[in-house]
Amino acid sequence: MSAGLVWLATFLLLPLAGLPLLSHVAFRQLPLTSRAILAGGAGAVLVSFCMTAFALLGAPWSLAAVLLAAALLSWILRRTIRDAPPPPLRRGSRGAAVLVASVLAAAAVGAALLATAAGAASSPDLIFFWGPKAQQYALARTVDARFLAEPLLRYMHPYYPPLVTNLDAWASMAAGRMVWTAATLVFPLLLAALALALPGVLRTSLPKSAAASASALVVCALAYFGIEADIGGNGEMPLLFFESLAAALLLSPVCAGAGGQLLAGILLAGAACAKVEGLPFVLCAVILFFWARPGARPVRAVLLRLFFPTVISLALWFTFGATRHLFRGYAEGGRFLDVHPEHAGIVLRAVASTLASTGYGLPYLIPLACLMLAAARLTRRAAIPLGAAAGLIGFFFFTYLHRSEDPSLWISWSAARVFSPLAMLFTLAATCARDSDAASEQRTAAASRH
Amino acid sequence: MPKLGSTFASVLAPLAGSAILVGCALASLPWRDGVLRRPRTPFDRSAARAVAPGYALLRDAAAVIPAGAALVALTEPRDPIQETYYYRFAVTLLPQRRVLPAAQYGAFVDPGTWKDAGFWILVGGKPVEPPGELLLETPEGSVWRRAPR
Repeated sequence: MSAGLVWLATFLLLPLAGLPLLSHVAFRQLPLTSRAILAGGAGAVLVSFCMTAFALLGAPWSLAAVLLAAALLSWILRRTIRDAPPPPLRRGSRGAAVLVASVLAAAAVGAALLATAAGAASSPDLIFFWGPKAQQYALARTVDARFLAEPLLRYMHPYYPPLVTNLDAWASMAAGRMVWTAATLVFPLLLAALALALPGVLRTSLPKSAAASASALVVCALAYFGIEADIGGNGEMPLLFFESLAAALLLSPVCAGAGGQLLAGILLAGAACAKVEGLPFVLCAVILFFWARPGARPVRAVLLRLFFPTVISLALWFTFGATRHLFRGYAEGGRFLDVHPEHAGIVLRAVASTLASTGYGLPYLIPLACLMLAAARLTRRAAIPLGAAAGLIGFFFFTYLHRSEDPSLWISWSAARVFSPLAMLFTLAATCARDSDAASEQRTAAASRH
Repeated sequence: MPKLGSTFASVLAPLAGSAILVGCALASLPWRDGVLRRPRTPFDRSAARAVAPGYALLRDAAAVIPAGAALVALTEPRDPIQETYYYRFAVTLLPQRRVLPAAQYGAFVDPGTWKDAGFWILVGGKPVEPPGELLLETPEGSVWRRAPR
């Protein structure tokens, strides 16, 4: 088997780490494919968490030890769930819409695969910082603090959260080296995983045709945006994978129980540990969950399940940074609160022109149009994706205004990527319309009764 | 029974939108450039295709520069912005070697810090005066072993 195949195949081990948690009956409503991929997502977060913990404790990484530790953690988390089995979902007919949606999603994944394999969607950030850090960690069998402390390598953003580099290092350890082409293929691989998992999660609150259609739109928008913005090998697709599945879970009846909330919390931690902007997403989503779903009680227990995985994961990373004298938090792009409101016009124009030049703005505009069509019938649940979208927009403008110099160039190479979750959030918000919501509330009530 | 309006909003509109996006995604692929032909580097047809030649040269250089050796990546003619990037490529593509920067953040550094590097990677044309023993020559540049001083 080639090194590239081994590198990619290592990710197939991740569901083993998440399996103890996802095999709980609380997730019985989810189809097997969705559960397997959610197990992979949760497994990825737990494996990365264990790798950071090993690094903090000074224990060298090994594939088996990390996987075993993550699976043990998953089993311990499972023991905290006391949910009774939820009622099974009624089997809906496949229908023409489901078939069309499946074909479109498969074509989108195929396009992303072709583009990436042809060298048309690779991110230069892979060779500037994501990849070299992962490569060095794999060689050192730990998060290499000496490498991160090297003054000449400050351009590699030592403080960036660890999940993407940890998992790339894990795959590199299995393959014996960093395989650059394989790293770029994480984009179509995770897009395919999302295409397989998302319909099943949405299906818990929507009719089958609506779940498949919304899922197809998310996948198609992310595929086109990803090809246009060259995200192969950088942190974007892992971030979008965790954000999409976490947001879909937060909207679903699965999140009425402790198991669903814990799983959503783990996936939110994945988003926060994939990229810096995952953290504002988590904060907005968790706060709005309580407003949009007033039945989520007791508040302290729900908050613990949703937010503690993010807190402990980032606390571990910042403790590592502080104890190695590397970093104490996120600090780049200017002094905090030293904003330059005089740049507001420049920032607005630069963001608008960058988004418009990424696939003619279609990956953002089409989901927005679908949201507009459903706008009159939106219910309270839509506050979760819409509030998260508003929070992200505010965060990015706030960040861009921190540069003392003209931020246009910075915006031109970052805005298309950082605003990409909006496509997914608009689509998910559009699914929170009255017809589907009534069905969802019934299922939530049924799940709570159980 | 869902109303026609809600079916349009929840099923037909997302499907129509997906079809447009997939059509655009497929149309954006480099069909004329032989999309199924294996690229030399992962960047050959991306927006960052300017990095492809340097990537190819530095990747190939790994075969002739041993682990532990000190090296520097230079451009011919000298360009501090390009050399900043090639330094970063070299750090990435030549692990376990000591990569010395000839430029940082778009400005040349003191040549005294890299002149004694055992290996020079020259991106661009072959120099008139050979800086040492030629180890590798590709369309993108050349790799030289410097005589020990």
